[in-house]
Amino acid sequence: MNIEVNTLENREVEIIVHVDDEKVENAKQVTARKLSKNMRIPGFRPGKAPYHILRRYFSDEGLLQESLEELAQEAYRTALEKESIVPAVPGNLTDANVQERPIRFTYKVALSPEVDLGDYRSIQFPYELPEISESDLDAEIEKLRKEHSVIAEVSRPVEAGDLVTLAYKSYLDGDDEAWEEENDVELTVEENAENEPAPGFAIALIGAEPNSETTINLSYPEDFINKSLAGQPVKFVVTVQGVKGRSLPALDDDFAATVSADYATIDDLRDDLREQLQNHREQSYNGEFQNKVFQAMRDQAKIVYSSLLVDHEIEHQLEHFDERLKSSRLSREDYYRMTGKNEEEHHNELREQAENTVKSNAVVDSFVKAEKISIDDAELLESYGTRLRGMGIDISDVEAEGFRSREILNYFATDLLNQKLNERLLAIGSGKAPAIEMLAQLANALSEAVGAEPEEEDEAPVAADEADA
Amino acid sequence: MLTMYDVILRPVVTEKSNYQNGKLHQYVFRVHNEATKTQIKDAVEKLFNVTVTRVNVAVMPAKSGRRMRRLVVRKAPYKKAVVWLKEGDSIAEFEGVK
Repeated sequence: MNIEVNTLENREVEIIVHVDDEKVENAKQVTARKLSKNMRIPGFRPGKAPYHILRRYFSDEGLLQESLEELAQEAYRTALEKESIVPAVPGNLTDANVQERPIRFTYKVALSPEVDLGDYRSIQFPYELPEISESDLDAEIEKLRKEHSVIAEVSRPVEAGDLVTLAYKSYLDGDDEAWEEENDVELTVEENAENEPAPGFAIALIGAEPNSETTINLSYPEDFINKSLAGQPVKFVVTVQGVKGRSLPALDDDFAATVSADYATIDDLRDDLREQLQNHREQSYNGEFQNKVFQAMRDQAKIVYSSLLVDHEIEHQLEHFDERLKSSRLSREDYYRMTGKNEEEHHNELREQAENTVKSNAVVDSFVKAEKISIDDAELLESYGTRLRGMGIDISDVEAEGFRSREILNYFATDLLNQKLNERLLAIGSGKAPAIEMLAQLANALSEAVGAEPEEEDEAPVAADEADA
Repeated sequence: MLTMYDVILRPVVTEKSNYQNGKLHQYVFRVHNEATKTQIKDAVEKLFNVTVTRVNVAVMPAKSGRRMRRLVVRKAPYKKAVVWLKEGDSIAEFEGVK
């Protein structure tokens, strides 16, 4: 087997493989035997006829055509192995010349992208974590009070926010006969309330006395859903049957105790709430900050990548898309018919996102390598154990039941790596990252202490697939 | 009167005959019902230019089957000859398409 490798631009290589005639002959024999299993040849049981008999039934070209796929696959595998080429995505067969001998296959293979991160360590943004103000805290407490409010029957006119039970008759313009009559309608007095017969009905109830008749004059808006009613004036004669008011609990120590038994005083509640809000805000701010740093890093990086990677990513996205469509019992053809798009437009839409994903993955990959971010087994198990404890499971039980599967560990490894990656992005962006030399020394010292080889980025490819910082 | 060219009707190509000529160096023909071992020997030697060391003959019995459940069809009996060749001789017609 003669193999030629030509390097193309954009991290692509062209592999030309000349396949020996002997290999082709062998492949034809294998194919003939495979095909004969489903054939009836007089005098032979299916699949038992020898090759020289089978040759009377198959033409040379036919057998060759049938064997091509297997031959091309094998030639591709052998070429990659012999030339030590690691494709980033499965390669493409661009040409198969079977007219000449030896037959020749040409493949185009995308290599992993080449990334120059540049001086990414100089990317810095001001880190300004917003403080929780008293008004934020008050709003949160007000929300809690509403959640703990008591709804009770009252005998006063209707106010905003009340829960009202009523009966009404509606009369269209000038009619004496009721067009609609309803009893025991329950609605909350607020804008755009559920169950209201016409927009603005609920708000118009404010001030209505319980157990007495009130008249409300409205008109249906021009863009009302029911076309026959749109724009028509309407009169409602309403009898409010019951009013339930919402009474908010007083802001005292009792309220704190009802929220949770952990709080003895209202100040405890405020302190804890402030801490929760602060944590929450820090998390979301950090997330945005990391994203900003990563975006800047991606924009600054010089990435050379093959368009085959993008095509592969588009295919990947389309697979997900198909799955989603399948769950609503649609096919892609149905989707195109409904939206009036064609396949090409759809591909172009996905292209930008796919390109971003390819770039991000490449940047994550080389960032992990440049920053020497790695995880060891002990860390992984600890994170796994912590997560399990959170679910009330002990790790030793899981091990006993054999749940420590590779997939689950891979998932946690990705998660942990993502976490470390984000921490490092935060440190770099806020100018607190340790020097790379120090990191390398630390990694070496750590591995010596554990007595293991310095860990290579085994998990990096996993992270590259999943991590989208 | 049988001539040499009437004796051999056609080769028998089946899984069994394939085994016989591959492993045992024997060649199987369907022959005329009235052919004798001597006639078969002479005919094979002349037609394929080989030396025959032994000939076995067998009359294969008639077989009947049915078409569409009712119609009974009968396959005629025929005579089969297994010809043993001298070491080194072979008959190209059995080797298949080259």
